Amino acid sequence: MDSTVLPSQAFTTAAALLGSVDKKVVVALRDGRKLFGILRSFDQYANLVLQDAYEYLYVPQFGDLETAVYGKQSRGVYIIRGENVQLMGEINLDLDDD
Amino acid sequence: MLPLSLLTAAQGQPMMVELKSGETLNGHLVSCDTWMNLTLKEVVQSSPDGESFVKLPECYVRGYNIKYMRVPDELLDMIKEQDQQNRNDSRGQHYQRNNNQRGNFNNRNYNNVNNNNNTNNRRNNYNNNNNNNNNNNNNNSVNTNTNGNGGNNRQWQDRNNQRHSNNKDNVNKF
Repeated sequence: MDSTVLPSQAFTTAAALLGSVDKKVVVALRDGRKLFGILRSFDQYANLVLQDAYEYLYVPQFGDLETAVYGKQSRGVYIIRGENVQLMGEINLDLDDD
Repeated sequence: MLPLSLLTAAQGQPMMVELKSGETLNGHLVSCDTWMNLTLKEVVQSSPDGESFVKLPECYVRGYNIKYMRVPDELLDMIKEQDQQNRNDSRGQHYQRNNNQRGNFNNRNYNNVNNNNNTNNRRNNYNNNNNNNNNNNNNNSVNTNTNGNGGNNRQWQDRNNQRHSNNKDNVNKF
């Protein structure tokens, strides 16, 4: 497993987001939604533009929580207001199921 | 392009706005501003639970209340094309500008090529600036121009109606 060397300015938001542009990301919103998509652009407030976005809807199975079901709903282009984002992360396409 | 630029470019397009409350507004974007305040028209407002709907001819949304917005896919493709075109155009202009200014150190007029709008000159030249207009038009076509009359030339008349200018080089070579 390669160890990623972080450049010194990677701890600023802008630099961190810049590396994720045009990459597949997961965005967790404060209301609990989980969006996946390709990050196209951002700004200083972390407003995001997501292309080919889809939402994973998690439905827990009654009784047996192990076999939870995911629904996938495609949503097109999102412009997300930055304050509603809880977290965002880049997706490792090698490990991705889609 | 920036998220707010994308939003501005989406004026006239249908879009869906979800508010922090969970309400959704489906309508056409009329205008937006830097705070993400929007005006929409032909709007259908849905409640958070999706049970009730209201039809509004016009609607104003304060940007603060927005959770996210969804726009048509085609819009993003259209914008990317426009962006590419603009970038290619401006790249060509940049090279032309360098040619015109080669060896021309007095000319501080930076808008050589597409200077149809001569606001720089209007601001700095208190007298009739026909000269400057002519010079700028010529800059587009001729390379060698040691003129000092472009850009920051100031001319004034003293009491004896003698015209002065603060440029040493008053000769325009064409």
